[in-house]
Amino acid sequence: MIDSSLDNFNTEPMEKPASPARQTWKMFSSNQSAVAGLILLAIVLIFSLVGPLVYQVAPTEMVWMPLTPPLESEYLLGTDYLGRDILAGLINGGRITIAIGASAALLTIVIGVTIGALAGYYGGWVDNLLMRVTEFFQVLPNLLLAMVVVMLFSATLTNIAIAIGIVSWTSTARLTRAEFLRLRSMDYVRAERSIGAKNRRIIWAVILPNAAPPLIVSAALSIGTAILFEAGLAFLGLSDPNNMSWGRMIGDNRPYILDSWWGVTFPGIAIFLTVLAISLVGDGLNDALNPKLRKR
Amino acid sequence: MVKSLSKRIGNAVILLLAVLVLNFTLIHIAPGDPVEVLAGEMGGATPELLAELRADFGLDQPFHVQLFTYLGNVLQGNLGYSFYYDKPVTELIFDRIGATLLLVITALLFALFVGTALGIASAQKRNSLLSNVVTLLSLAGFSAPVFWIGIMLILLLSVALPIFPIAGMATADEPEGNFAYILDVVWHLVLPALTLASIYLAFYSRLSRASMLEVLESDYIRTARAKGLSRFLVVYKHALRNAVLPVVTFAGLQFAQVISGAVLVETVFAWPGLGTLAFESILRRDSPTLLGILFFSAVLVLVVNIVVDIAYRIIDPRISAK
Amino acid sequence: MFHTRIMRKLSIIAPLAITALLSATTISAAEPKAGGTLNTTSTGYRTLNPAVQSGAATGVPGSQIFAGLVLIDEDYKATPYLAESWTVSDDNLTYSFKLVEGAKFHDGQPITSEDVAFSLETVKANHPFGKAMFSNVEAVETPDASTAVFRLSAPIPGLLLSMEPLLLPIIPKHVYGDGQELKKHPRNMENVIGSGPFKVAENTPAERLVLVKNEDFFIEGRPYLDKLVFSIVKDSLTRVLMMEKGEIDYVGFSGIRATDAGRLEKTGRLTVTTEGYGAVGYIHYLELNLRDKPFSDLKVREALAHAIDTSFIAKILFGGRVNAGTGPLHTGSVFYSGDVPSFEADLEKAAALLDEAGYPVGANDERFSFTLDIPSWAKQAHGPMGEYIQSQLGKIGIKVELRQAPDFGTWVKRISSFDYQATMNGSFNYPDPVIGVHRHFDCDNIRNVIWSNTQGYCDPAMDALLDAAAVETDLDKRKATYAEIQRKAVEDLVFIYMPQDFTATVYSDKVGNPPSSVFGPLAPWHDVYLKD
Repeated sequence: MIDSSLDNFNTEPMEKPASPARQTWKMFSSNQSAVAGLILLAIVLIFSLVGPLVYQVAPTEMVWMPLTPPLESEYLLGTDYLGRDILAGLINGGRITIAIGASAALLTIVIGVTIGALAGYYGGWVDNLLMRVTEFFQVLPNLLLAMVVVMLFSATLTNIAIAIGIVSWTSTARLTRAEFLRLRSMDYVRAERSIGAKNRRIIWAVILPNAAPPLIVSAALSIGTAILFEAGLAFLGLSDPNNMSWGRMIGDNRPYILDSWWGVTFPGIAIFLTVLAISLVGDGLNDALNPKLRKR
Repeated sequence: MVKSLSKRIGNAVILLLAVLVLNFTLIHIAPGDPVEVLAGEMGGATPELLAELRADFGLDQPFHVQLFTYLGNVLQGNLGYSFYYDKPVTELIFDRIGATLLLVITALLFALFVGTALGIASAQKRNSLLSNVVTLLSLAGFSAPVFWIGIMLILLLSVALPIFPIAGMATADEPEGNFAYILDVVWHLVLPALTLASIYLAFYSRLSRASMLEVLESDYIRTARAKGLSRFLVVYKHALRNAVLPVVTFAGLQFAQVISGAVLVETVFAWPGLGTLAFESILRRDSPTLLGILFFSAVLVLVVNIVVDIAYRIIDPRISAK
Repeated sequence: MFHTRIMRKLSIIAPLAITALLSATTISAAEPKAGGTLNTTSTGYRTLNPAVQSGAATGVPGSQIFAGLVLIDEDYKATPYLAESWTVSDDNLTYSFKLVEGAKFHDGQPITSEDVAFSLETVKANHPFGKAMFSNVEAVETPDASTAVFRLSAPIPGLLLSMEPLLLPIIPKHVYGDGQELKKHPRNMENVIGSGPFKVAENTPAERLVLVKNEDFFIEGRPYLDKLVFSIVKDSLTRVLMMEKGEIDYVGFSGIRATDAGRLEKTGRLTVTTEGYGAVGYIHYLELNLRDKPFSDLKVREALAHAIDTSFIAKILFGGRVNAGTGPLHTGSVFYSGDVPSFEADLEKAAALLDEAGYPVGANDERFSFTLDIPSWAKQAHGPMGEYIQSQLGKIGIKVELRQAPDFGTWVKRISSFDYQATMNGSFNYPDPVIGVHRHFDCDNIRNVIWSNTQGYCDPAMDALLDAAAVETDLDKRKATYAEIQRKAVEDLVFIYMPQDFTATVYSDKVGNPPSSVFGPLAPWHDVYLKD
């Protein structure tokens, strides 16, 4: 498991970004791989969100002989060990996978930004305490911790998303803290303070919007990380048995892999393409929002 | 340097204490009683035996008593007794740690060297074929689930082309002689290490490429080039050192996550290390073992970080001067 | 609809399976030869002492390390082992065993009748089935060092079956008689001293167990093998790959899936057989908590039985390699009877029964919902069964919420405290129904213990039948009683029976004399040898 802390290093210090969204989009759209990622992401989203309306085979229905290879029946990608349609599983599982990824990422961002913002803005003992908490989560292997949490509260979709969120916010917190440390002594922040603005307003309404670009990148990437995380948990058997997800498909079909390479390969490819699309878009955003690179 | 080091160690100790307390709490509010698991494994037990087992493991004591007993024991280097294996946890960990360290260190070194080399090479010529391939590969390594890479490697290199062993750390019937044994283990190590390395390979090549690019464009390198130093010297003497710094830091920071990766890779390849032990302990509610592993990995991570910190200072003396 | 389509396809496959079966039974008769190492696997064990632990993980190596008084052959007949002969009194209340002269434990101490008496006490007190097997054994007398006399308070028809090394291993009193709690005795894992054909040479719980030939074994010229290596492999996929690659010579309780069997047979080197598990009798079932609505209503259970097509699961999901399972007894048991009510697959009938029972289709097309627990210990069987049941019952308006138990203990706790609605479950018959079958039906056995009568079934008529069968020494009469028990159990739908377990032995053509008794791999392997 890798967390998306890479952006700590990719993100150059920024001047107050006055560049309008249009300039960012111009930058982004001139980046071929980013556009490719965006298109790929759109395809994945259409596949998972519109797919169930078009392809109406229930993912839990036993439709054909178990372990039928792709292209040998009307079920294009073959069937799994229960004779369920793999394609239907991919289409319906995508929604769950993306939902888990997105909600876990949201939680990651909420916790990470809150802790990072408070630590970076107030400094002193607050910073010290919150950074110790961050370190605490950093020295523990996050997958093990998530496994413990999922087992504690049983493997439901919500609990899985919460467990992933709880163990993966540290890099976001560090990133946010760094941004806040840098921005809190900026002139416009001082100006706000001198006119008597409340801390709460300064943190959330003044500094945060200016710290947003790297956080947006981080948020995008953490969706990908969360999807990989879900797959890892499912592979270890920690998935919700009542909902299909890509990770669960890999975990469930893995024992049958010798007779059905398709059962684990297709969901693996789906995860791979989705995370790849997210990474490409995240990278593109990073470049587009990063003024230093823009000069090049 | 000594002063900051001792401060770091002090910090580490407080952190470890927090790890112990919080994990202990977390595991003890979990539903599912370890003694019930044990009784189940025994095929059922009478209430009397259950009570006796509970008393044996001190589980009949109030929570705070259990906690302080545990902390006291840890201070004496005793991580408790495994419910399941009926063995001291430290013994279990030391039985397994070798396998995990072998796997993790091999994978990390491989990823570090190959990844950094690829990253630096590709940074030399942006937009070259090599550079694009490295970027693409690193994205791929980033985006595929690590256990899935492992399964694919098994299908490819153990099943379709039976080159490497499928699982385990040594052939069941060990070959005679030390050399043959070492060779056997190395042979078993290739696929798991490659799998675990894949994510970090992607990671380090990306990281070193990024920092190399930055360094190459910095003023002092330009000055050096302007002074007429050869490209080779500039790259390998000046730029390399600075480009390696973030990579080394990350090796430390990421170490906890490497252990997470090891859990998955060890499961795929049935590698008899700490990862599989942790997974089994969760399934068996063997909380002393699980606590021990979590604590032990925290210690490991902190030690690695302190070592990295020292290494950092040696590579870049400017830090200690600050 | 898809049933018929699938069945048609199946008819093409079936003849192939039969050919494979026939070719597997041809056994070449070669002269056994001594020597060699047999590679096998284990899923891991927490003790090597079968006197205190049931199950195959301990039992397979345990039966190699410890000897028993008798062996059981293919026809459930006892043959001499550590006891060279025995006599049974006319009233079936006294069994007198004569031990083999000069038999020794692995540490060189002689095996005496004292050890037999001690072993019986240990098993009776500590083994999960100790009481079921031996509660009627009042005392073991030891008139001399080589004679052990069992005095019974009531006849035990299956007593000799329980004298197999698996169920009554002879353990050394001078090691285990030191007053320590037997279930937690350190010598169960370390420096294990046994009485059987193989001695423990290396025991590394995470990696491997190595057993070596006991040169002083009491049967002359046995065992043939020099060494047994049990690699600890928990993952079934890994095991299959190792077998396919030829890294494993023989493995019982192989943990392979029915879908893997064909693949292994295709290698041409490997034989997959489900023979040799008659004494184990591993069956699966859907257990419903009979205390509460809706499952307290027989009509609802009948509806479920009509909705769940057991033979479809057996044929399609388990590749036709297992029997559908018609009642509490395994088809391999001598007491098995197929003369039980059958509930043909019929969703409409199921729906009608539910209407009758007062569960009409309500909002969201739903009649009622329930939580079905999936235990963790046989996930490869129970997972697919649970998912099938979920999908099938969904069609008649019953919403099934699957709950995967995170660990063994959580599931045990839920079931044994009766805090559940329904669970997938399975259990062993063991060689005599008194051990493995009665426990689920006896009113007195509604206890907070897993694999007892946790579903809460109680019927005096059933109790009377069970009591009669327990002491009946005439085989035919006993068979008739068990036929009635089976009929009643299915009539009352105490459980809804699933396909039997796909328990299989896999061995390569290098292996001679693979264990073939009803205990299969759980019997000692002293006759096994490796061909050139």
